[in-house]
This record gives sequence, C-alpha cells and structure tokens, in this order.
Amino acid sequence: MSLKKRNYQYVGLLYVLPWVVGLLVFQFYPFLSSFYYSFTDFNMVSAPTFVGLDNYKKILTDDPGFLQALKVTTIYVLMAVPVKLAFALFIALILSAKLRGINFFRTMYYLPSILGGSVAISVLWRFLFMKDGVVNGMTGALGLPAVDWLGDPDIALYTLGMLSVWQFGSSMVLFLAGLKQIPGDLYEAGAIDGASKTRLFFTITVPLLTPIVLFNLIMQMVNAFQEFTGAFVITNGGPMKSTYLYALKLYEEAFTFFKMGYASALSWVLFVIIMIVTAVIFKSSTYWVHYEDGGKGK
Amino acid sequence: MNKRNKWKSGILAATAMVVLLAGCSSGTNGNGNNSGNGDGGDKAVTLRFSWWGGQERHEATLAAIEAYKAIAPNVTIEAEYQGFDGYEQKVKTQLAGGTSADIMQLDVPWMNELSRSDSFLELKDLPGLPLDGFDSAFLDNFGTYNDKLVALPTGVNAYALVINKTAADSLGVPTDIRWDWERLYEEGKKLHEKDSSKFLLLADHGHLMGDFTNMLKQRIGDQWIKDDYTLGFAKEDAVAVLTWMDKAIKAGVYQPLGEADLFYGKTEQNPKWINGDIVMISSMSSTLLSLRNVLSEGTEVTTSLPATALDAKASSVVVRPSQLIAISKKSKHPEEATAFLNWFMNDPEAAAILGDVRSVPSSSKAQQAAVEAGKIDPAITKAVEEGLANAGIVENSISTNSEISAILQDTIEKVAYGRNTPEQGADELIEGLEKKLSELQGRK
Repeated sequence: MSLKKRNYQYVGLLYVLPWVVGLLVFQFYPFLSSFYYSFTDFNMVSAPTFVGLDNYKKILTDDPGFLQALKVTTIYVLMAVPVKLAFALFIALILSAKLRGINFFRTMYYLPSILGGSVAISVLWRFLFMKDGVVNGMTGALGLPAVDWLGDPDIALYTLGMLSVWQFGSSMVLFLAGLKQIPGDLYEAGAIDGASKTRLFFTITVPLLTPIVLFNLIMQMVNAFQEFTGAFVITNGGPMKSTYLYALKLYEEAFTFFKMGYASALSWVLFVIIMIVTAVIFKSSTYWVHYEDGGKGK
Repeated sequence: MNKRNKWKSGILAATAMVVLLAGCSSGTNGNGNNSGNGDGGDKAVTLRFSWWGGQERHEATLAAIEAYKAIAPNVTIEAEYQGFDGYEQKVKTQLAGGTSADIMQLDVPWMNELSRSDSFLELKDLPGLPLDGFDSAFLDNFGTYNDKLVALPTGVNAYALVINKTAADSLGVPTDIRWDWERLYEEGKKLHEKDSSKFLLLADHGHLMGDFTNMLKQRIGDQWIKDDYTLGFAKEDAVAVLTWMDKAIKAGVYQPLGEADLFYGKTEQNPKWINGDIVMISSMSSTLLSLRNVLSEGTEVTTSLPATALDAKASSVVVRPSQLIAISKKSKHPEEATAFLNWFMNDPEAAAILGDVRSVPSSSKAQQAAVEAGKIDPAITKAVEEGLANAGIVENSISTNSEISAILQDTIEKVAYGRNTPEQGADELIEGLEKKLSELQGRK
C-alpha cells in the first residue's frame, strides 16, 4: 500500500472518530461492564461483590416476576409485531397508488413514527384511553358500552400494543420502497393471463416483498422485546402486572430495588433470547423468503 | 480532493473531535479558581441544590435562592428541581457516580441504604449550624444514621385525610367527625349508591397499601414487620383487613384501582379529584397544597385524622419529616453549603418566603417566623397538630423496604381486582414476605 493511500485511510478514520469514540464509550463499555456486573451483587452504594452465576440461577429457577415479564413480553411481541407489519403493508399498498398529492399523504402517515415512543405521546394515550377518556366518549356517542382500556388487566396490554402499531411509519416506508422495486411487467403479464387482483397480490406482490418482510420482522421484533416507554409511562406495569414488560422488570430491579448486578444479568438473558429468536427467524427464512436471484446474493 | 483540501478537512475533523471530548469532560475540574476548602469569604462559589416538588415548592424555593444572593453575594446556588417521579433514581445514580449536588433533598425511606456509604457531611456541632430550634427526638429518629447526624428534617409531615369540604358538603358527607373504618365504609357505600360517578376515597395501589398497613398496625398494636425480620401479624389479622378492603372496594368506597393507578405518583392529576367527584385522599400534609391547587377557585379543603378503628390498640398516624436535607461529603465548599442550609432552615426571612411548601417547618425559629408571616395554611397546621397529638408507631425501615412493598402491592392488587379472595391473599402475602425476609436477612 502506498503512503498516499494510507494517509487517505487515516483521514477517513479521523472523520468517523467521533462516532467510534461514542460507540466505544456509550455502547461498548456499558455492554462489557454490564456483562461483568451480571456476575456481581451491586447496589450502587457499596462496591460490587462477585457472586458467580447466582444471578442467572435465580432468574431461571426462582423468580416469578421474570416468568410473568417473559409471558407478558411474548404475548406483546406475538401480537404487536404481526399487526404492525400487516397494517404497514396495507397503508403502503394504498400509498403506492399513483395519485395527485400522494407525497403529502406519505408524509402524514409517517408522522406518528416521528412522534412515536415519546413520553408526551404516552401521556396523551393515557388521556385518550382512560375510563372517562376521549375514546370512550366517542364510542359512547355511538351507543357502545365503555371499555376500561387501561384499567382492565385483560385488555391493557392490547391497548399498549395499539400504541406500537400506530408507529407503523418506518416499516411502511420500507414496504413502499419494496413495492416500487417490483417490475410492472409482472403484473401486466399476470393480468393478461387473467389473474384477479387478489391473485396478483398473493402470487406476485407478497413473494417479491418477502425480503423486506424479513427485515421488518426482525427489526420490529427486536424493538418489541425491548419496549419500555409506553408501559412505563401509561400503566407502570399494571393493572395487576398485566403490562409488566421485560424492560419494566429490568428497570424495577435496577432502579427501584437497586440490584444492578441482577438487572445486568436480566439484560443479558434478554439479549440471548433476542439472539435465539433472530436466529430462528433467519433459519426459517430459507423456506419463505423469496429472492429474485435465488438467494445467491445473500 | 487535492492535498491541501485533504489536510484542511483533516484538521477540521480533529478540531471537531477536540471540541466533542472537551464537552464530555467539562465540569470535572472546571472550577479550579476555588478548589480550596471554601474558607474564603469573598471568593465566588457555586453550589448545587437539588430537590423534588410541585409548582408551589419550586417557585418558593427559587425565590428563597434569589433572596440568598443578598445575604451571600459571592455564592451562586444552582437549582436542580423536578417532580418526585425519578428523583430517587437520579440522586442514587449521582451519589454512586460522585456527581451529586452539594445540597440535596432526600426522603426518609432511602436513608438507611444511602448512609451505608459515607456520602454525607456530619452536621452535628458545626459552628455555622445551630440545631437548638429542632426537636432532638425528631433528629434522632429520622436524621441520625450509624450514630451520625447526616440530614436535617425540612418540615413536620403528618398523615391525614385531605378532604374536599366543598364537595363533601354538597354531597352530604360529614367532615367534622373522627373517621373509623366502618364509618368510611358506610358513608362511601351510601355516596356511591346515590351517584355511581362519585367516590368517597381516591386510592391508587399506594393508598390501598397505606390503608392496609394502618389498619393492620391498629389491630396488632405493633410494627407489622418487626425489627428482627419476623412478621408482627397473624394470618387472621391479614384476612380481616383484606376482607374489609374487599368489601369496601366492591361497594364503591374507593375509585376503581384501574382508574386511580393511571395517576399513581401524580394524584393531583386525577380528573375525578379535580372535578370534585372524589371527596377524600389519604395523604401526607406536605402534598396538601398541590392537591388543593388543582381544584376550582373557592373550593375549601380541610383535613381530618386518618381513619382509626374504635378498638385500635395503637395509633397508626405517621408523623415524619416531609423531607430531609443533607450535604454531600464530596462538596468542595462545605462551609458555604452549611451556611446556606442554616439560612434555609432557621432564618426568619427564608421561612417567610418558603412558608408551608415543605409542610410546617421543623425548626421552631422558622416555624414561628412562617406563622407570623401568615404563610402556613390553616389546613396544614390542623393536620400537623392533630398528627402530633396522635402520633403513632414510628415506622421501622424494614417495613418500608421497596422489595417488601412490591410483595404487598401484588397481594393488594390481586384482591382489588377480584382475582384472589382475602383468604388466598393473606396466604400469598405471608408466604411471599417470609421468603423475602429471610433473603433480606441473609443479605444484611
């Protein structure tokens, strides 16, 4: 490698240095130190003491709160992710139509994702869905009975799920891009052969979108497993722990009980769970994801 | 890109880097000009003071800080204030990282754990901080940990029923009686039967837990969890109390838990309280102002002793400091911080500005000045006077432990949502507590 070339490299490195430092200090260091803390008993007041695998043992064998959190989170992921993706695809299909001013609508539909997981929106959600809230006011005007959206242990989690579905924008944009990639002549050929719209959708659109579905599925799944803001701000895990998501359990151990070591271990267990689920989805993708080049480019 | 441009951009990137890093590290040794131990009278000194509170407390405290500029022009007090939510987490993290404020407001239940590490300045026998205005038992019970006085009580706080008298009068709820549990049940039931949108009591899970432990303590006449980490109650006590709660919840004495809990920790935002659909809240007197401020103008608020069983073996009325204030041992200016604390706690001028935003001041000097300035609300005075006259068992630290509270919360919620009978609830509670207590004892 010539000297000149190498200099170029250093300049490039210099450019990314702020980001690299940020990554090392704010991501890599906490990542590694949490691994260390997960083997300790650490309450932030006294120095950490090494306890070996005790934290992990307790999590896996002797913590009903962990099981509850895992159950709630699994239901949440299984519900929120598919509904969100289906909704995002539905809106993307509508917005892929060639209409005047369609870009305006695309922007509008993306708005919720920008406002998304913020505390302010969560507070707003609380006032919308509380017993005397706006939603019950509207359904009441239609003569429907009032539903305790956030106060009923059997319903609250689904209400929070709706908050997540509402932030469908980023998946939608990816679907839109995917839809644009599908060559128009395929539809044309199908139409000439007499295929119906539904048939075209299921035999052309869906298969050709599967790579995007895979990407969206993994990203949204990872996010859903870590969901925190809504459940923390709106219901704080209640009523009766029915919205006690994994991230809330983690927060409670860390910042209510100040068991930092235990909380670190919990976060590593979550990390492993997400890794496993991701691996399973990737493995399964050979059966349902269709690549136009037959997957050679993978 | 030619060579010169390349260099230019390289320098640019490097500069950006330096700025970024400098931004990260500023503050660690930024105040080199006064790194001595703060004995200079005229040197510019900056102190950080952190507290939690509502709007009134923020405004009054900021006004006091402003007034202190005239007393000590060289001292700048940086205010760090917020609501109660998240404050504990912030302070504990700051203490762990060594970045806490010089002067900080703290809460009694946190102190046992916080004082384990040597984070606070010992406040006894400091020349600039006379303590003769404080009740010595109060200092011993709540400010002293490991035989060191590390925090001063800001005010005297008493547990009371805060009553929206205007609403009570119009709904026919009596306000001049001493409440016992049966009376609460009967009046609550009557009110809710007459109008199903009205409730006698606002109660999120925290309030229900308070009612549970109070009723239990009155029944057994002792701590419900003893200092030796054993239970102070038997199963039938817990069953009796849970049975009463179950009955009261079903009769609509309390606003349904699912509705009230959406405003946990921010009771004053509950729309039903704001609209006068709920008559009473059990609360500490220090929160009375924020509870009243949300009510429409002209609404009268009064207080009453908390519900007490007619055959109570002991009073369960909690009287404790509203908050504590401590000085960080790591403060670079302990003398200035002490001087400010003394002014804040004892000075008549400060007391007249602060009034009752931290309940009735605990220093008698400040108390007198605040009363003379007409800055203590009669309703707060009533709550504190009645509380002091009927003060009950001083809560031990194990019964306010956060992990113990979490178990109690589980029990109460399951009964409140009708998933457990009082019988099952008592069984689960005792089983959970015994397991946790032995675990906590092992960790001690």
